[in-house]
Amino acid sequence: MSDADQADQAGQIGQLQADNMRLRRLLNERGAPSTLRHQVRNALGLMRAIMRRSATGKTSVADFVAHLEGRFDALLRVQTGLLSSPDGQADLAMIVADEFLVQAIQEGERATVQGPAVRIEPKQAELLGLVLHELTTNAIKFGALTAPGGHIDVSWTLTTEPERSLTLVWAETGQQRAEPSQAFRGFGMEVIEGMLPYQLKAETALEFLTEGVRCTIAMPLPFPT
Amino acid sequence: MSNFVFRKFQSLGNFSADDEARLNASMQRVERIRPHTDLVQEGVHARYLNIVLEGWACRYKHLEDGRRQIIALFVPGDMCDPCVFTLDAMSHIIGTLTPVTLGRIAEKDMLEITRTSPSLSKAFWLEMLVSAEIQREWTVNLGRRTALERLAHLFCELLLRMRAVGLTKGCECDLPITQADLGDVLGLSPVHVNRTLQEIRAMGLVEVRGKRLVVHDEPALQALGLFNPNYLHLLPSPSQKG
Repeated sequence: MSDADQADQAGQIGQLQADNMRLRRLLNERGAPSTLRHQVRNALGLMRAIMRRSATGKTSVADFVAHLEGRFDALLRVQTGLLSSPDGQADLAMIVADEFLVQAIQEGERATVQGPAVRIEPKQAELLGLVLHELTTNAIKFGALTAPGGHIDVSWTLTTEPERSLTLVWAETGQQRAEPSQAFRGFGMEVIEGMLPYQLKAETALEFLTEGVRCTIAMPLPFPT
Repeated sequence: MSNFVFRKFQSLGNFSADDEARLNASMQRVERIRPHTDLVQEGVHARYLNIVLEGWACRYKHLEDGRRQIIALFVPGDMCDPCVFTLDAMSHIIGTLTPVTLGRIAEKDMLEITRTSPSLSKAFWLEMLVSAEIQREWTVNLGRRTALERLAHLFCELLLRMRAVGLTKGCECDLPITQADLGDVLGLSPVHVNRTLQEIRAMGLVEVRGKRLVVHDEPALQALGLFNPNYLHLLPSPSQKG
């Protein structure tokens, strides 16, 4: 790695640390409502977990920083939305559509997003935002979007019996060969199979079908106030 | 009616009644052009400088498969390129979005004005520089802002531009374009525009009522859109009476 590359990475890491500090300042701001503090603390905890878990595997520092930036960006997008949200919750469709927007996936052409309007809690929004980022990144690098006719359908349904819950299905089609990437196997799978069940009481299923990845996430929702 | 152009100029700098008379004398009115009409075609040498006096127009480009990007919006008082004659041929299309009344200045008159009136020359320069500034801001919008931030930013900009020419009533102004047009401005799918509009309304910031834009909380909307009005280079404006 050249000196210039190292300096560049140091700059990027510095930038990430500065972002982290900005969140800390936000946390310490006098008069910040306790829900906000709670939320920021959660986000910092999550960032720490992302940072640690992204570091596993034998990738270069450049790769590590790139993955980390993508994940932090996804999380910060959700955070920014939550901060300006009057009810402190997030709209699920906006989270999905913004991830596609950032990754330059045209809705209607290569992806569809469908489901009833639903607002979700900060913790759910953060983790789902992260999962959607991992799934999208995987689809671009190794999944359905590598194939000319590849397509992603994201849809969800709400049920109220026996409890209020949300079931989201990520379905890729049009791929010839389904093979999970190393990156996905590492962090993405850990979020889906570890963090979601543990932190959101979600039931998740991740399948690698011949036509592409299929991921189902079912989780309880609180009753709307 | 041509005074929208002059108000636009005055929002950017100080100009005299003589300048206004001179501008009006050289301008030829073209009434009520129908919506969705192309004013200047791609590949053609422009013969006139077009100024929007009434209605909204836009600058756009098509990709081969029909996808469209609106590159700029023109509201009353806006000029479609003061230096357009310098180019051999246009690389994009200028078209109307609503019924439009234009003021046209012929190439020879325009050259005459720029040769003999330093103050009007300055006005044309300012107009061009500001439109380049807006273009830069739109690049950031399309490249980096989220859907909600894009929409918030555009609404903040439009409200200020309309206010500069005296076409606002408090925090309300006309928004005579469709959701499909908004999608082509913001690089969003129609369905994403729709849900973003719903979201921004649910936040209590903005409502689009019929063809009117109603802003409920301008400072919060500016914060949401990460909006800084400096790029519009507006003078502290007397026309802000609303």
